[in-house]
Amino acid sequence: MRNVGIVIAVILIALLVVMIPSINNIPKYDEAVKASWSQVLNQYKRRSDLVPNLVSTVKGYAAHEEKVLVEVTKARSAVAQMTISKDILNDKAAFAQFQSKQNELSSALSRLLVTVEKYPDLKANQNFVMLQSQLEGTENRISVARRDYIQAVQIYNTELRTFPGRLWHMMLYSDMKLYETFSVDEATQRVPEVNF
Amino acid sequence: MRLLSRLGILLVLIGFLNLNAQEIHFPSLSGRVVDEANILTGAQKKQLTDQLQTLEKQTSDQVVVVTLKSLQGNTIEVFGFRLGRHWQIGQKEKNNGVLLIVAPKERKVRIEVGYGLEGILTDGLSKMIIDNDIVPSFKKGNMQEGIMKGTKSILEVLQGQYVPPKKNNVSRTDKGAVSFGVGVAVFFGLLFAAPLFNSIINNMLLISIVNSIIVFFTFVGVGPLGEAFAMGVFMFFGSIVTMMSKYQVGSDSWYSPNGSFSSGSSSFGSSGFSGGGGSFGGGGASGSW
Repeated sequence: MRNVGIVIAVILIALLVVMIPSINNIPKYDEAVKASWSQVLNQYKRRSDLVPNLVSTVKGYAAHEEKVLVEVTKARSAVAQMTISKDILNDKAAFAQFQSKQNELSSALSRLLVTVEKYPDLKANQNFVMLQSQLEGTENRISVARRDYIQAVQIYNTELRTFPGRLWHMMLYSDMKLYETFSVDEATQRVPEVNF
Repeated sequence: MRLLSRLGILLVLIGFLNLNAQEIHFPSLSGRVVDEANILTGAQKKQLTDQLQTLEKQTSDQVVVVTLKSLQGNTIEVFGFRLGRHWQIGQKEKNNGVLLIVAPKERKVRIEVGYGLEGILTDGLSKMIIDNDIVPSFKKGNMQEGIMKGTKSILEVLQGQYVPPKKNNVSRTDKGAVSFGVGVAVFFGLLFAAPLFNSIINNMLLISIVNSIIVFFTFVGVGPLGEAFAMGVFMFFGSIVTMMSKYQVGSDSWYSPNGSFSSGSSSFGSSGFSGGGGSFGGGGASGSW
């Protein structure tokens, strides 16, 4: 009996020794999630800011492609008017809405870039080439930012759900919730591809 | 037999610690020119290395030219920023690294620009360099010429001398601030690099010792002393090996909560080039031929 008591005591002490180094992990990972979320918003904003310029450049050469241009403009203003609340990261519905609106803009933009293929004059326009490479770069930055966010959330959520983070969560950080993350939808996720 | 089965369980446990393995195998950063695809001649590599080294002395920007055997099933955009983060090209505070990546097998080329240079070597300029200087030579089959020309233009942009066709000049004015920044970076790098390194080693030792003690006492409770001791020793080395491999992989993560293994300071010598701790966010442009 005495033996069992010692073993239990040793295990308890060992548990504490293992747990103490990770006491700050949850708030630390939480900050990383927030920082990477700001980066996601930042890059989406950057894309949204590029759109008016792009639309007006395309209009100069392909004014009768009205349907696609209107779609892009509409999707863009839907994105711009979206209010992003502070707790969007914990709110499944709001997060899904954010994602679907951004995806609508993505697909409208890629349709626009496909349409543009028919206009060699536009494609040769220096201004358009610059805008297009900026758009491509921004789409790429968005996917990097999303990947970073997904990773940060994964680390944070895992910490909340596994030992020893789970115990710390119960004891100290019970107000902190799991975060929503992006679902990777390959079809809408694809960066618009343009060949020269 | 019993000992064997317990060793088996322990192995599985250690395996769980190491789930975070990496799917891309990156080439090692052997210098400023990493010619994995064997495109360049020795003289060209020497010339490029000298140019790139001069640039770092002037502006602290780190530029690396890479040719790859394969993208290992990734797009060049994904491979590019992960390679840049893995190597930590660019100074830590400035993220001023650039990679020129050529993947002849997939016929893709990319200029990957670190966060800090996105405003100077913009996506548009990167695209222009690829379209005007690199792709035409590649199309002719002259890979060497394309790489040399492309690198030259990248360097011109970073030094504020690039004149794009039919476009305004790009200038760069903060040279004084840059060299001051480098001095500060090197000073603090040297100041902090050594203790950081030590603390990681110490942590690894501490955790390993704690692990082995836990295992030892757990098994003392249920079995003979010798066996428990053997398990403890096994756990100690197992933990060390696991953690060593953990610190090597995963360094391409944008956020490394445990403090990354960055060298902190840049190296100005011709040999032993290493990244300064810079990060990448997907800036730049790609092309194909």
